[in-house]
Amino acid sequence: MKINSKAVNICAPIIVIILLIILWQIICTVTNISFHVLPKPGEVGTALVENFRGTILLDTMASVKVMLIGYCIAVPLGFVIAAISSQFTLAVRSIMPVLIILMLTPMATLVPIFKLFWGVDPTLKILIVVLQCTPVIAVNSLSGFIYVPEAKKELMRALGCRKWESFFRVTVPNAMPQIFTGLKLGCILCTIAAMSADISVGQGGLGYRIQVASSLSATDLAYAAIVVAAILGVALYMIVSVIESRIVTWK
Amino acid sequence: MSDFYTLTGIKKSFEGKGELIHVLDGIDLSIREKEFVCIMGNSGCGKSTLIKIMEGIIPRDGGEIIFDGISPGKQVSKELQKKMGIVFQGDNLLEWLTVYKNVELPLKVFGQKDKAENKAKVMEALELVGLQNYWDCIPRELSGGMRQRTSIARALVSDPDILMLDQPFGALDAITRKTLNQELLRIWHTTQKTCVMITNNENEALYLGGRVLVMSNSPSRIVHEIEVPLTYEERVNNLALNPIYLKLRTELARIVRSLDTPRQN
Repeated sequence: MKINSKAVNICAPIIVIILLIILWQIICTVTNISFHVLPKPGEVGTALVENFRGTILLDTMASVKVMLIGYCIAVPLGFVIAAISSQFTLAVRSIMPVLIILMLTPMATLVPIFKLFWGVDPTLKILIVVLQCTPVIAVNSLSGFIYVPEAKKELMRALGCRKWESFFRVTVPNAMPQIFTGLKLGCILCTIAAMSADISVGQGGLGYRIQVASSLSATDLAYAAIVVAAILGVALYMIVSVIESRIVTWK
Repeated sequence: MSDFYTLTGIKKSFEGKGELIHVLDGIDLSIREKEFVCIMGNSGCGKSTLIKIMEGIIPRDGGEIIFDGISPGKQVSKELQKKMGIVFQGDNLLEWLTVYKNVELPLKVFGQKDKAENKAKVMEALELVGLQNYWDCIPRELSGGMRQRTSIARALVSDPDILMLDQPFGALDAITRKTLNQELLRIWHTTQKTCVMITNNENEALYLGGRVLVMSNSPSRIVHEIEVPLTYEERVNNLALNPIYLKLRTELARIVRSLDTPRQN
């Protein structure tokens, strides 16, 4: 089997994950660690299956809803912010640092303040996700938009293209790799933001389930919810990666 | 044989390190219909700046351009750009488009929407450069020579009145360069397009050009002009043994050597 064949790319990480699970099982057995601190992988699996219909499925649906709605608002919003500000040098200079500060601010910390204004509203979680994802998408798209090789600008000028025509014909496709970097980072922040929003807002969701379960010492259920949250994050990331490989075929 | 592209007193300077650097100091040149003109000069003399002004890519500081009876203002109109086919220093293809779509680009920008008609034009241009079987490739899959052929096809697709080439084969190896020069001469002969080409290669200039203009170092003017009275047949058959060619080559080499070496800043 070749070292860079597709089968190896898929199998190798799966084998590593299986090995880690076996290591986890061995550590639990050897050290005889308390169930309330670290349950065995088997116990987590059982908790996942037993609680799936009762709680986890509903929590997953709630989290997926928040993540998807938030992400689907953040993507066009980030793109439009980047597209408009890329047209003005002053805007690039002034907006870029602000976006970077916003990108690095953990938005879940705003929840207690937002609660003062609106009380506990379910849309608060979506707002957190949007606030967390938009800046990273905007920053990466913008850095793609402002770097266009001089030769390509000359080509557009030689064809007599006006600003917006060359933006859509050259600037956007040229920035696609950076745009997708932003979209993928957005996936990661989207999952994190959704979980922390669940924890600080409450009212269902996987983050909320993790918090409740651990406070009731149902550690196995908490781990089960963490596993599902991780799978959600990975799934979103993979979907965007597949779309990227379909669109950015020239790299 | 009318003058249909005329430059008078073209001036251009750039700002650099707090002082104005004069690059073009009054370029006068006139191009006749259907002729092939080569422009030579030392590196840094402003050859590329000159052709970019002619192509409407950068504005001139002073002087007059008359092209096809029209004097273009600061911003060159799409209508006028359509009459110029431009081949860049690198191939300058858009790497996310296929060969076909790259060649089709000018037609789309110029608002020609008839798909069947566009297809016929694109395939005709690709056939002219011998790439009709590669229309579905993306630039990354092609060799440097094939990419530059694609960019020639892109310049020809909108059926321009004049073809402008800025050191088109400078980045290619010697053998590919020679082949593409032969192709270009054949294309010029068959399409009867007016061509202006910037080059730094004396053999290339004499092989292709009906006239060779030599620029001085910057701030530059056109200081020499050589007529190359060779027919197409003489150019393609044993040019290296042709006495007129050999005499002109010696003369051109002497002129190029006589230019001072560029100022080192």
